[in-house]
Amino acid sequence: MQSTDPLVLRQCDLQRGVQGLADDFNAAVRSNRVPIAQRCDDCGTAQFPPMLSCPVCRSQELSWVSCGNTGTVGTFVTVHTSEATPSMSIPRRLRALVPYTSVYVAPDAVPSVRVAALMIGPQQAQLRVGSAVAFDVTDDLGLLVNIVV
Amino acid sequence: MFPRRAVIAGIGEVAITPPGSGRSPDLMTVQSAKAACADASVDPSRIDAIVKYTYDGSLSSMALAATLGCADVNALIEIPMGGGSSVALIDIARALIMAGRAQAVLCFRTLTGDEWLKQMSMADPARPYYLDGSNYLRSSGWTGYLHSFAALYAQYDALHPLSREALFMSANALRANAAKNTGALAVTPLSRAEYFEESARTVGPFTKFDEYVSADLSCAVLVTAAGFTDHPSREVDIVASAQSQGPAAKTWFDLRPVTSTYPDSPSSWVAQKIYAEAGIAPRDIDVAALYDCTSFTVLDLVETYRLCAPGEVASLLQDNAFRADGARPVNTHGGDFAAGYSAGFRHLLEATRQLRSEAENQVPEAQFAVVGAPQIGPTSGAILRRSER
Repeated sequence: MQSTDPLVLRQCDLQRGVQGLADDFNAAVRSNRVPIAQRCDDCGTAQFPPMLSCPVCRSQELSWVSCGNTGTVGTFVTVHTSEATPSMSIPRRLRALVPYTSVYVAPDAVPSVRVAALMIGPQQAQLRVGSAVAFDVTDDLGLLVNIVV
Repeated sequence: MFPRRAVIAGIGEVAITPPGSGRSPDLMTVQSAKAACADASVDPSRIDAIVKYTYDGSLSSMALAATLGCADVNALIEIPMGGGSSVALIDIARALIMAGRAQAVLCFRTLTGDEWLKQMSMADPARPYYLDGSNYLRSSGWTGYLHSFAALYAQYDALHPLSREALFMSANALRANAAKNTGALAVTPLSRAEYFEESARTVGPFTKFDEYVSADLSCAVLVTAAGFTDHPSREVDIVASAQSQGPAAKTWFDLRPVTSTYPDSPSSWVAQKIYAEAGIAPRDIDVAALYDCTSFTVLDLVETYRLCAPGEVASLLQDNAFRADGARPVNTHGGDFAAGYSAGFRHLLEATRQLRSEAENQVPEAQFAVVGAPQIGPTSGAILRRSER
């Protein structure tokens, strides 16, 4: 059953399996320019990352939904060094941005999930668990968050 | 008749060295397996099941069974849970024995340096979800397993402020314990100058000194039915063991930062199960061997296993409680952190030695030990007891 919730963007393409679902996710983020989660059309349970079936009601009717503009920080990790070690490798295009922070954010519109976003700049010093942040989908760096002042 | 009791009857290992020893991991596995059998005075031909980590590339369970000349094997099992597999190997061995499907189960882990990292990241069409870490977290800068533990730290710190000073003390507490063990690799205290040097910082609260020391090692545990060997006083009882994927199960280890159940975790669910099964309380634990890939990981597990009140682990460090003569002995061998990384498996050998009163850094009259695997993904834990025979 198609949901009439205005947050819904379109149904997920499950037919190409796990990697196809990831490709579909990235395509949906690029074309809609919003943070995205997956939501079950039948029971409304949200997931990030997406899965091939609803783990709560087992429905295969799953859709991409917009996570809106703002969220609350669940946790975060600041990367201080651009040197790789055996246990860490920094994505190539982020090396010049060190220090940067990976921020795991519960969107206000879909608070049962956390999505993964990037924070750069001096605002990182103010970042705390529980901080209010605003989403910004960029062409070059993907999903960013900025502290809401 | 059923369920049969399972015990750790034998332990064995080859010498630990820094990575790059050039020793063959295949041969090390054969040698440690034979050492465990010798320790139990059990001929290797009597092994009737083998359990290993999937990410152990040293020797397949099939090849080991053939090489050891096992008369017949009822089960060859591989556990896919990364570090979470460590105690799961014993739990599965115990399950086979309790059900009467095996009597002598050989479990092992062999590592050469950081090969395991490559093995866990290799493309494997049979396990497509391994790419979920890359697909969903990479663009926001996820760097590897350290990221997941740093994310855990931030959540702990938000509940109970935990300074970098405490992590420095944790690293040195593990090194101090390691220094009492022959062959441990990281035995000298870290200086404040080197630890707090800004260029030493890596990810989250961590410095390059907050991670385990790499090693070439191989260790094996022979789990048997109680009474299988002729040495009942050397048997260590497995009084409880369990696995769990915990709340908010995800498809891959790295995804734990996008869950919001902390402090509930796969390890808190395991702790609940094993204390209930053993019928003892955390205060009855005499020595703990808890996964310690980072200086924070072990602190979080001390609280997860309720070995102190929430928020109190930093004061345990202040009191030198982790020492063998301390109030709360933890990783008396220095753990993987300071003795040499074994994906948590070597903790079982130390716990066994403690309960046989054969440890180099002995906790006096240790009766109960808890062994715990990491809290990120599906995991395992067990409570062991000194033989009463």
